[in-house]
Amino acid sequence: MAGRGKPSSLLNYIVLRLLLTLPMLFILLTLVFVLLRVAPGDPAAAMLGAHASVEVIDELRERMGLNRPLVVQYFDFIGDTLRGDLGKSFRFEVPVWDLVKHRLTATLELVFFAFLIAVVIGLAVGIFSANRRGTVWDLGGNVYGILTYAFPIFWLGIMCQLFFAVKLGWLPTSGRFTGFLSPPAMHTGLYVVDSLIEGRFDKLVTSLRYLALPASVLGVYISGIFARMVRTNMLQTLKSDYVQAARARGVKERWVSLRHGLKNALVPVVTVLGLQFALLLGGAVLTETTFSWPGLGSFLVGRLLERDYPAVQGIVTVFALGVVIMSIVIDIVNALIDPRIRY
Amino acid sequence: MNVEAVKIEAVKAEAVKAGARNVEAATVEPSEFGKETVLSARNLSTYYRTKRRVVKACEAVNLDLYRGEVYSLVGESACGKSTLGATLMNLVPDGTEVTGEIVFRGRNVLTLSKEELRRLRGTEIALIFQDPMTRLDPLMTIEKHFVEALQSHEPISRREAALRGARALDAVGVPPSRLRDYPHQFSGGMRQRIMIALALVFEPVLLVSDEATTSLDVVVQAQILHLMRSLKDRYGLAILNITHDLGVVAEISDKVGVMYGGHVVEQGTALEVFHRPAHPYTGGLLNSVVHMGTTQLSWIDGMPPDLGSPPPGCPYADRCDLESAECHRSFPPESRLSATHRVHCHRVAAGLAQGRDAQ
Repeated sequence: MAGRGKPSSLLNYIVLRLLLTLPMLFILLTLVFVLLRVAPGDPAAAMLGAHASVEVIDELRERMGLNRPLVVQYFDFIGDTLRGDLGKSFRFEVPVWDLVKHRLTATLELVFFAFLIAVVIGLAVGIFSANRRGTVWDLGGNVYGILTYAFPIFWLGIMCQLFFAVKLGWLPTSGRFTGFLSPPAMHTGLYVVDSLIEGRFDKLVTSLRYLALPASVLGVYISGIFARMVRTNMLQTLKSDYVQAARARGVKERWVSLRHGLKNALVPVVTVLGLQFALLLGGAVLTETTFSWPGLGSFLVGRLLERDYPAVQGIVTVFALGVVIMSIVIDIVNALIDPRIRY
Repeated sequence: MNVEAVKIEAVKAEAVKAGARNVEAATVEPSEFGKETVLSARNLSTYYRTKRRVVKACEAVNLDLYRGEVYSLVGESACGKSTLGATLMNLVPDGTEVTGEIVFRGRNVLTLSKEELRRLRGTEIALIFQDPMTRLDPLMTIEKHFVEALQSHEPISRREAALRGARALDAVGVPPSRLRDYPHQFSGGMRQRIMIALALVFEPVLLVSDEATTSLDVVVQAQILHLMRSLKDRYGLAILNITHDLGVVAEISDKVGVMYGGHVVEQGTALEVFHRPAHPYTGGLLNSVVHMGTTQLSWIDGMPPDLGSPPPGCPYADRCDLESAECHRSFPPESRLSATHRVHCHRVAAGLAQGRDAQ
């Protein structure tokens, strides 16, 4: 029991967590494969349109490998995925990964900046409300939380476009980058980072200008829930015995509130935050569509409509990996916050 | 048999009244540190206001705490002991109504600003609690607890604060090498020692111990009590010891106050209260103590009054075997049996009046 949580125990913990995710991934891949085949609709028919003859459709099915037994298709899919090969898109006839990586990085960039905004606003409003429980300020914080969550996000997006882009003309309405410049060369896929790598200040500013509206709208939308979570959990910890004890020692109120109240409230908040991040990789569809952001969510919707099996399977695999990585990150962050989690 | 016991106590009380003057001479023992008053409460009341009712947790309390003295506050659960302790530090929830006066070293605690109050807490008045398992922040090392407390009150470097923490731990018998450990790595007794070390790192004048030994096993309890005693002797600490364990009280107290229904119904030196209890409730309480050799349990019938609707007269009247009509009408006045021994009981008051008439 002596000594603080050793780094090796944290490492063991991470390895264990990673091993536990393997069966989870396997189940998920199987589920996607089965669900796609069970769902009505045929990829070849969907691609060729309503007037194609049966022979043509069948020829395309043969080419796509859809006439093989399902078991063979399944094990091919699992084997390819394990080797890191997501297959070729039916529609575009290029490797799925090449299609996905641009969309994924676009979504990552959007969600990352939205989260940055959400965390800053959420923490500020949450802490502010918790420390002024029952006052007008607290009420204001609560109203903010409910309103932002209750607004349909596309409506908020359109209103912002109308006001900031059309009326004031400060920011572009939609898209990810201007046509007058070539986007920064792909290193990380995040335009902001790639602009910095290229050393092009103008490209950096352009990327940020295009990011500003969608990231803010998405960020404000999520910030309401965060604020409420931070507030609720902090009110709970501020009532705890160790907080009363700290006050009895005359600890500065700011420290009582932040070091004891906030820090102890963080574990549940980090958990929800992380899962929310993973969810948004695929769930930012509304924001992406409103702002014509070339992200993964809107791409997935398109491929689903076309029954592009390899593309959908590939995207879902990427999502699954995202969720797995995020939940490991959550566990590590929580283990760093709370010494009792390290075992 | 309960009736019998109280009657015996009543007889004892009569005896006290008879020899009141002698008792007075015998009980005032000069303390090593003189009689410097650390804290005195006058007519102190604490009411918790909820939407529907007012709970009078503490009513018209007078008490004085002196340097180098342990004052024990005893009584059943829910009689206002902990409220009184929290009130003395003005550590009651917002919206609680506190009236009267608490003078701590010349300052009225109730009129201090929030910041003045914060500066007082920890440095001059320290509080330790009943359940040490939940009183330390689970996410902080012991060292950080010390650094935070010290830096809240004085400009001091991390290193220096940690050093003082180590010394404080050493003084209460916790190996300073464990400064970097987290609370969950300690046992309950060790955590209470840490709480005491945290309380004493500033060398406060007054230590309020709210059932600090209640949740500990007897061996650890004895160690903690011994520790508190030695700290009192060494630094001239005044200790307000809130407890319902009469064994603990007998162990360390100089003065004893008996609380019932929000009132301090009897107070005096430990000798006076234990050997010549004047209030029927004190007698009942003492009789309820189980000794080695106890073959039959003795108790007081009934429950303490609901402080949300206290009876108009003496709060103990409903359970008292010696009650009269007067007891249900008005709260008894204070009778002084000696310079230190005071009691609120109509019977005692009547007895004293009779004694005066006789002279």
